Formats: sequence, C-alpha cells, structure tokens
Amino acid sequence: MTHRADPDLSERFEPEWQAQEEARVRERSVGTSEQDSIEVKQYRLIARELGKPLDIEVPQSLTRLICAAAETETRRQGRLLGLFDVYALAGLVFLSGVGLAWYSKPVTDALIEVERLSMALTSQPAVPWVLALMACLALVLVTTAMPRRWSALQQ
Amino acid sequence: MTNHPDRVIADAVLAGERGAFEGLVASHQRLCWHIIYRMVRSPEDTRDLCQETFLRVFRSLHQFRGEQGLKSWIGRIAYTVALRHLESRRVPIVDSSSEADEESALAAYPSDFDLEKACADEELARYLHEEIERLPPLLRTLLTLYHLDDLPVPVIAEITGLPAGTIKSYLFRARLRLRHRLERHQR
Repeated sequence: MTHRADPDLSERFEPEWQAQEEARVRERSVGTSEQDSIEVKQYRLIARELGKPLDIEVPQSLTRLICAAAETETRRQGRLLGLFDVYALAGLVFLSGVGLAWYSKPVTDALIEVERLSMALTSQPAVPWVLALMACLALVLVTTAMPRRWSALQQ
Repeated sequence: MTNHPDRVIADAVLAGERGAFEGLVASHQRLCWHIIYRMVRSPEDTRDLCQETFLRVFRSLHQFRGEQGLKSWIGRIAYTVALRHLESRRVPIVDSSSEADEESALAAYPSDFDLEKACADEELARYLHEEIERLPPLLRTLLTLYHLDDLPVPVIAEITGLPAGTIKSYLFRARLRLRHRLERHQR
C-alpha cells in the first residue's frame, strides 16, 4: 500500500505519506525497528495503538437484542398485513356487490357478446371458461395468500 | 451473482430461514459497532444505533442487489445512521485544518525515538489513546476502519460515500496530527 496519498495533496507531503504507510506494513510484519527511520518508528507506535481493540467492544447481548427487535417487527408487520387483507377483501366484496347491482346489465351484455363472438369464431361456448378462470383465480387467492396472512395475524 | 455468498445470505434472510438473520448480525455487528462507536463515542447510543442499523438492514434487505459486498452495504447504513445522529446533535464530524497546520507539523523534526521503549511506556500509550479520542469523529472512524478493521480504502469509500482521495487525505492528516502531538509530548 504505497499508493500516492491524494492527487490534491501536495507533493511535499508524499514522503510523509510513504512513512505512514511503511509503518503500517512494518507493524504488521512484526519486524524489528532497527532499520526504520525516526518517522517510521513514530508512525509504527501510532499504528500499534490504532490496531488495538476499542476500549468497549461489542456487548455479548447485542445479537440477541437485535434479533428480538427484528422478530417483534416481523410480528407487527404481519398484523398490519393481516388487517390490510381483511379490509381489502371487505372492500372488494362491497365493491363487487355495488358494481353488480349497478352494472349487471352491461356485464350480462358483455358475456353475451363474448359468447356470440366465440360461437361465431370457434363454434364453442366461451362463457363457462371465462367463469371457470375467474373461479380458479379466486380459489388460488383464498387458499394460498389468505391463510399465510391469517397465520401472521394469529402470531 | 446468484451464487455469491453475500447473495446467498441475503436470500436466506429474506426467505425467513431459521438463524439466517442472527448469522448476518453476528458477522457484521463488530464492523457496525466500530463505525458507530467511533462516531458517537457513547456506548449506550452505540447500542441503540446498532439496533436501528440492523432493523433498517432487515427492512431493506430486498433492495440489496449485490453490486457491492454486504459488508460495505451494511457499513454504509451504519455510517448513515451515526452521521444523522451527530447531525441531529449538531456535532461537526471534521474540523477545519489547513495545509499550513500540516506544514508546521512537518517542520517539527524529531531528534531520536526509541520504539521499543515507547511501546513499553504506558503513560505514552495512554496519552496517544487520549489524542486519538480527541480527533474529530470522521477521522477517528477512518483510522479505525483502516488500521483496526483492516479495510482497504475503496471499501471505506463505499461505506462513507467519500472519494478515495479524500479518505487518503484525511488518513494522512490524522496520522500526521498524532505524530506531531507525540513529538510535542516527548519534548
């Protein structure tokens, strides 16, 4: 590590930077200081002091404290997500009811149109497949996403 | 990058694997402690800020893309948390030393120095320790990351968000200042 200190740092400081880096390397190699210059010897003392552990190191209980805090956070998030799902589902049911009440004729008309097109193009009815697809989607939602949310809610 | 060890650890934590987060904390808490403790100096604040750091890691781990190592990524969060703490208390992280100060430090030529004797001198070690503590928070932190944690300058640059040249300049100034104080103390 004898790279130049900094392009912005004056070249006058270059020998001093080199002494600092040499001291760092020499201090690691645990070599004797007989051939070291006075600057390097002083920087070796500084490097030795800087390499010592801090006066207060990581407490033993820190990992446990952090993990407990993270677990609490996970539970809190789970509860919030669970509540969100309940509200979202309730909202969906409500909107579906309102929508069907207001737009039942256009929905029926759309399904009739789909059926008409399907019969014209393929001579096969399409509405049962559309309804089956919607039912599958609803089933997947209810059987996979909801139980996960509910179990988080129960924790 | 999918098989990179850091990515594997991150994926394990995200998948909720038992003990994965605990392992991640155990692997990186020392670095976080060093960064935060060197910045704020209070052990109580350091403990709280370490906890805050890892909760942020826990919340935002899905954003870890693996372009930089997990060590730099977590270290950056710890540094930011400590920096905001100091800013909220209006504690400056660097002082304004000029090139003239460094010139005067260089002008102090040493006469002689016995390293072995100096190392055995407890009073001198204590003095040096106090001088390190007196350095501004950023300089203390950079010295610790470079000397104690043995991190290369590019990794320290990723953690602090400072250019590598600036970090080298700060390291230079901090060590020169310590040497100057050492020289003055021995006169």
